[in-house]
Amino acid sequence: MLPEPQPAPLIPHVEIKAAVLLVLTLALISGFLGYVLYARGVFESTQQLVLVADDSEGAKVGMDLTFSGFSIGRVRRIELAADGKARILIDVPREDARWLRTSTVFAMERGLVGDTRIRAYTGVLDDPPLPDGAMRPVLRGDASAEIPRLIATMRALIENLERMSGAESSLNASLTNVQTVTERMKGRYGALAGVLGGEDNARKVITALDRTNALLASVGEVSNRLDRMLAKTDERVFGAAGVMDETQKTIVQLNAALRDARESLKKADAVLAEAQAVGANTRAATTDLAALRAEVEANLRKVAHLVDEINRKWPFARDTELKLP
Amino acid sequence: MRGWYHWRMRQATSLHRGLSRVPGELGTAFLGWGASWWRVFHFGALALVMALSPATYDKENRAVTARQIYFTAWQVLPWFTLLSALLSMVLIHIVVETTLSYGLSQYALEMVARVLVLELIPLLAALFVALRSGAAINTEVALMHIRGDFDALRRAGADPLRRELVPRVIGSAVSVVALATVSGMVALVLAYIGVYGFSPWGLVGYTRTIGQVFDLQVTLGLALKTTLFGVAVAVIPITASLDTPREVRLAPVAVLRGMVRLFLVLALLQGASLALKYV
Repeated sequence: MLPEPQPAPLIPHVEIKAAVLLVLTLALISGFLGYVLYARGVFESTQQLVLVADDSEGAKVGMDLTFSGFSIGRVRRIELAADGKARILIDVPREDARWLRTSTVFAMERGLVGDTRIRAYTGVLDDPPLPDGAMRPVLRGDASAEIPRLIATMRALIENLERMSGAESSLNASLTNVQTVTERMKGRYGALAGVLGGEDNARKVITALDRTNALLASVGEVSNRLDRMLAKTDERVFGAAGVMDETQKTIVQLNAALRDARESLKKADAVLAEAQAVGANTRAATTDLAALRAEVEANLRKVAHLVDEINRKWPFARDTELKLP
Repeated sequence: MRGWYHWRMRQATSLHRGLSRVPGELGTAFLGWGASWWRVFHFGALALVMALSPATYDKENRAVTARQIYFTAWQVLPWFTLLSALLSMVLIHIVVETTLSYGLSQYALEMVARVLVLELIPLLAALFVALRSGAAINTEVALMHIRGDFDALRRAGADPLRRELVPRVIGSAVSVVALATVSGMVALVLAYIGVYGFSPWGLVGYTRTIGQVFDLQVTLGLALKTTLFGVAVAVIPITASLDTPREVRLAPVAVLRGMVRLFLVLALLQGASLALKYV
């Protein structure tokens, strides 16, 4: 049969030990709860920020709002507004709200790996602070949305590459041409034959170059002569007893002549002034002449009258009658 | 033992012989299955109510409960903490190294907190207590049941449920919760050291990550899960023991059924918690 149960062995302070264990467990649990509450920001005073996005995909409650990589807020709620846009309500501790200014830009970025992140960028920290309950648009930067476009572009690029590298491609033809040219370049006339397309042409060019060289030599001679001539001219024109010297002397003489002329003119001026005075006298004389003439005329009229009188009174009067036959 | 074997063989051959009786037998088996689960829930609810009512804790009962807590929790706490700390260290190291090599080290802490503290350590604590105390409770209660100790207690005017069974439930529940709590805290400290080293400057980021991981649902879920683990570890073996007919040869069957059921329930609880959290 089964053995009879033995009385339990006596354990010292068993109740105290049990109590200690319970208290330890409860203390750990309550301490951890307090820590979690603190970590979730229950004891912080916060202000609210509303971000408006076209699409809230990837955003979730509890995610961080980061500024320079530091978390400064936490998403509390995401809701659909009446206008069909997503409203992301964020709690920002008042202590951290100083990083948010009226000019702050918010962006929601979605990487290939990992969470979506909401980031704040503040360029000017001297702007007025963001008020409580402010509403701001959020820009989206979605890396995965770029992928289809990227793939399409890449496909086009690869097709182009294929077309370029094909046997009948223009690139290939160009390369063949380049090969021909470089082969020509290897010939006697080097790069010149390659550029001109044949040795004959290259030879002509070289001949032309030779002639040009000869021409240039004679041109050099000509210019030497010209130089000499110029030197002589210089001597003749600007040298001692040259043209310029003579000219200078002439000019001095001319100046003297001019001075004489000026003096002659002054004399003429004086003569003219005198002539003017003569004229004035003449005018006065003319006026007296008119009175004289009037007198003379009056005297002549008197004389005529006198003659008439004498004629009438004269006994030897003349037969004044005309006898008609 | 032999009789039990023949009985099982007879059952098997009879099942093989009379396929026409299968639906009837299946129905009976299903009913029996349902009834036994019902007894599990009933006993669990009863134990919980008694554990929460202050009248349960008279002087003698307090002594019994304290002894149960001492045996199931106090005795194993240091060793279990050491074991789980070792396991945590290895896991944290693996996670940190792996995330570092993939360039995802910013997720190491969150992953450690989620995998270790939320999932592995409570399950480990429950399994440990089940293996150590659950099996012991199962055997002990089965033997007491077979020996008729409960009837004797009842005749003596004491309630066996209150005197013998509820203290075991409380003991195992406290044990699981205490082990999970202490090991979880140790794991969190080790996670900090594993990710940031001994520098105090990681505390802000650490606090933020912990705050993100332990939101309301997760914390409540963790508490509920751990408590249910603790209750299940005692309740299921006890019910399985009481279900067994009072024959000494059936005592191993009681232990076997109790332990299988217990592990099934633990797995279901864990699966349900994961499904609720991540699906």
